[in-house]
Amino acid sequence: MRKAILPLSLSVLLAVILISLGTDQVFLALRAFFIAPLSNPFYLTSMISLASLLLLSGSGISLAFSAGSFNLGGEGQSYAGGLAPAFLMLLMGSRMEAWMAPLILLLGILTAMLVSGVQGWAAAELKNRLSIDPLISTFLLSSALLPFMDSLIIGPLRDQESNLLSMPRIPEFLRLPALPSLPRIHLGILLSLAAWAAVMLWYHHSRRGFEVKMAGANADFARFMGLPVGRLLSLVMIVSAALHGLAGFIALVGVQHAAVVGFTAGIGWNGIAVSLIGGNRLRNLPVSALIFAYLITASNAAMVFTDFSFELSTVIQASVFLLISVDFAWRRNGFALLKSRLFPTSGEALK
Amino acid sequence: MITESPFAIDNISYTYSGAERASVAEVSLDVFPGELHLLIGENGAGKSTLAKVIHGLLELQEGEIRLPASLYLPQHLLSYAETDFSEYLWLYFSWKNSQVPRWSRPTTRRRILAEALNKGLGREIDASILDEAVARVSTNILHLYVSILLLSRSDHRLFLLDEPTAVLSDAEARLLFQAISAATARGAAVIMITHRIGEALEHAHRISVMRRGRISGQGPAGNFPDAQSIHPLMFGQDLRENPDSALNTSAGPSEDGIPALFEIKYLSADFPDLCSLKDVSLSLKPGEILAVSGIRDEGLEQLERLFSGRISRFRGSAEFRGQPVDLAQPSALRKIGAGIVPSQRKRYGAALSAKAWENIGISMRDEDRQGFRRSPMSPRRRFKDRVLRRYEGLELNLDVPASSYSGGMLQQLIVNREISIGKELLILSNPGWGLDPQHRERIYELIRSSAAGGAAVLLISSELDEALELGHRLACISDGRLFYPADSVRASRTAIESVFLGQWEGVEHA
Amino acid sequence: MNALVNILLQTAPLYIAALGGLFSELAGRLNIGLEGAILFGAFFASIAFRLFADPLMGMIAALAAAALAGSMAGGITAWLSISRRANVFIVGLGVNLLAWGLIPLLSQAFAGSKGVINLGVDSAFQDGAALVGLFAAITIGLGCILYLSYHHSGLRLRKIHLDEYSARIQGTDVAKYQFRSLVFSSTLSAFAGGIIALHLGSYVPNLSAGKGWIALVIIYLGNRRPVPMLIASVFFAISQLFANEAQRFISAPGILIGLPYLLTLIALILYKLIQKSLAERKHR
Repeated sequence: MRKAILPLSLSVLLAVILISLGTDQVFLALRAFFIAPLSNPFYLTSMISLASLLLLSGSGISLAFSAGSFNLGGEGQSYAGGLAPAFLMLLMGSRMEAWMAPLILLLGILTAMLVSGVQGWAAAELKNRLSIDPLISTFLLSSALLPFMDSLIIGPLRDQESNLLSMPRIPEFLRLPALPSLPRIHLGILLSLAAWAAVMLWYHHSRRGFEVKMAGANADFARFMGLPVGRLLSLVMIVSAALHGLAGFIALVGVQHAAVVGFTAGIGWNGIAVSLIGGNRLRNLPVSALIFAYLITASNAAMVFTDFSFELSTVIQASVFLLISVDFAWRRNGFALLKSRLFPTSGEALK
Repeated sequence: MITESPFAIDNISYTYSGAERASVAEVSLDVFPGELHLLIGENGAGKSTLAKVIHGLLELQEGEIRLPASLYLPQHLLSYAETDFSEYLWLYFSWKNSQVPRWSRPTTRRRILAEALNKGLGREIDASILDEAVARVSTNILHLYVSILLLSRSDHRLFLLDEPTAVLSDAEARLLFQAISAATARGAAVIMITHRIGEALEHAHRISVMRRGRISGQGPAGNFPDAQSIHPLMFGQDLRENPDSALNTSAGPSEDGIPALFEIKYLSADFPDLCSLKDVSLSLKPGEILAVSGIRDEGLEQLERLFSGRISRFRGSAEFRGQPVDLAQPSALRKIGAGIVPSQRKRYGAALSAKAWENIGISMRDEDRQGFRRSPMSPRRRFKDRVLRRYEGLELNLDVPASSYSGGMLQQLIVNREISIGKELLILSNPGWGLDPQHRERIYELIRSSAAGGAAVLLISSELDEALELGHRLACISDGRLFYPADSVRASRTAIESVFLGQWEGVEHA
Repeated sequence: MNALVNILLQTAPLYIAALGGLFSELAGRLNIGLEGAILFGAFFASIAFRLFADPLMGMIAALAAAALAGSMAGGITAWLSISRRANVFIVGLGVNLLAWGLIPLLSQAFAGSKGVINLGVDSAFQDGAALVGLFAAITIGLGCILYLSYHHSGLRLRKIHLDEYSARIQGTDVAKYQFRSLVFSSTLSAFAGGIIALHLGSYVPNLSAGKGWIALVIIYLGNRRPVPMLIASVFFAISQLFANEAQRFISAPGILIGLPYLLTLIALILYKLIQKSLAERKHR
């Protein structure tokens, strides 16, 4: 976690520079960027709500990393995880009644995890059977599914009465309960914290979790000790994808209340950033999810309050990616390099 | 001593990170132009490390080297896919070579290579072999051709050859020595590491013997009349007169009525980078230690890969308690509860980023009553405490990452873990490798007491001392064949040393 | 006839980007930032083009700017991942995201619009640009084949991914090759991006449409050889054209945007299946 301080500071610095260049209302924009997410109740609650979603996808990414593999399909997994339950609710239509709400929500969670988990499972199978790297298969699968799902929302499933590119809104009773005055503080936040805690518990305190950890730490050794490394990968990829699916579901029933086009956009890529900031350690994720949610909300606030009109979050995300795994010990190394150039000790001089 | 040599290798030491003793310690070599300098020593004596430091593959840590750029022939030439032999040779031949064209067609390359090889070998080669996939070229031709090509380069004045003759036939070795003589005749210096002392002695000008990282003897070749005069420097004086050996039972599989616990019958297997295993048979009884020793690449590495489930194609069979075991299954021996200590302990023996206790716990995760299985959500703490309690006697701090351990500590952890897994069957590869005497003795003690407790132990060791010290029975492996030396051979230290080096001439064997 | 030409024109940028990726793959450090490099190339080509009144000068400047932008992106990737030992995949993702995030900003600053930058060229120029791309693809393709087959360092490069340790033993300065290959891969991809923009006659956000990723798959399908890679490129060009054409006849717009990705995945799976069954037959 401490390793993330320098990359994060540099990213914020970059954001500040870009804001200064991009608007004449620099002071206003910077105040919006730094203060608004914390002082304005709307932004504060949005930030917390967003952080809860990022906590889930970040956990999924960290898990995949800990098993030594990438999950770049988070976007498609979370989108499917929101869309499939929305479709289910559309199918059930008026047959749903308020008393069924817990059952339907539970069914929704299962559906979300199923349709996303399948994507993770497919990637793991492709790795185990055909040695296709999940890095590329998750990405391709997700990129193939996203436009398809988009066009479902825009096309056959679209709510004809709405101006939005959206499916019909889900009934009131299926929305996750929220605080009356703060609609963005909803039950989904607790749900995602619970899911994160469950993953932590599983990873750190169960036999399977322990096996996953050891297989990720050294696959050759794990195989040598008789662990089923391929099956463990499948398990991890399924859980990783299902966590994204759950995030998509919460975005549906907790935040958007309708499957709007692109309603989960960013959960996948932002999840990777969150995981990287947290050093790919599950226990750091709530903090890193909050940090990253803050950065996104801040750049949104800067956009709303001034004429600054850019989505800075992608730039911040990019700079986190570029800088996070850099070996910042380079001053020391650079010095050693200089020394070896100045005072060659080996046969170098004669060559 | 004042040397007139323009070349200097002074007081070099090298310690691998995490190792507790230097692999090369305070080594100085007298290297002179126009001389063949032999570097001799047991496996693990530090010869290859020294060569890599001299060549610059490993960073110089201590000492001074003043040398012209060297050409280096590594001990193992690995073949890899999608490459034909001429491409493979060209990579060696074209390195820093201003005499070859930068742009060249494959046919041009083949012609240049064939010319250089013909000249170096003094005879016409069959040029069609240059079109073969390098993976299909036999190891001896691979080594011979690469070394001949390197030696044929007159633009270099220093050659480092690591075991160039190990895989060569006698006739091929003679060709190599011709090429070496040609190189030294034009004023180049050649440093050659070898196990095949006898044939190398005739051609050598100077000899250095290494033992446990240090030079144990050095001088002009005239000081060493024959191989026997070098063995004491290689294997040490202390054990020579009265080998402190546990060898006592008869050589071959004994027939005292106790059924064998673990048996290998007529096992043969091919390896892409090493010589084949040929009809290897062995059997182990409860309570005995069978030591298999020899040059690592002549069969020990192959056996280790076989037992750790990394070989899927072979002929022959394995049995445990009379039941067949399918060694092609990656964890076949694990399923029958064998303890296996790998020689590459950082790759196969532990996960360095995990805690030390986790590296032990991985073997206890299945335990029914107390492990994770019975209480699936049993807190990590309880599991950890159980591991710590059971391994209290280890006197290691288990609550730190395994990466902070020295080689000796790590090995202690691994051997302890495997001994507690393998109550019946233990397979150990070079358990004492790279350890200081104290750690070494501790681990030997563990192995002995485990055998005394009824475990059948297969010791695979490239160190003869270790095999002699631990083994109840001794087998030697050479060119992929397993031999059980006769009693008369085992009685004589000199004869055993020769057998170890694969020199069977004049030695009687069973 | 027209369709055939169209296919070739579509193939060219894809092939150029894939050749770039090939270098990074051969050096054992696959550059997954090609997508971003294509976008950067297309964007800077458009900006540079608008600086010149003369279309020919503009085209030269545009392609030079694209290559320069690509070498910058590649330089960042190589410096971070080789010199500073960052994870090359994460850095590659970073470059992709950087392109996504930074280009709208730069676009606003230099072109006064966040979205489409119209180059204001006629269709003759567009065809000309595509032909230049085709010519470049042929030249670069031949150059790569010659370099990889006949130059001594090309041979060295080709062997690195097979076994890095052996390469080092054989005297190859692996880090140097990796650095240069990463720079070169982004440069070529960005150049391809420049061609795409000129061919389209405008810079459009998301103009790469996954070409950077498809290029990576082309490398595998072409078994890391330039000639089979050409065939794979043609296949993907056809599939992309098909998706574009089919779009017109389908009521739900956008449903086929994902088709190239899906075909890529299916092609990859089929390829691996065939490879596997061939290997098994060989052993038997």
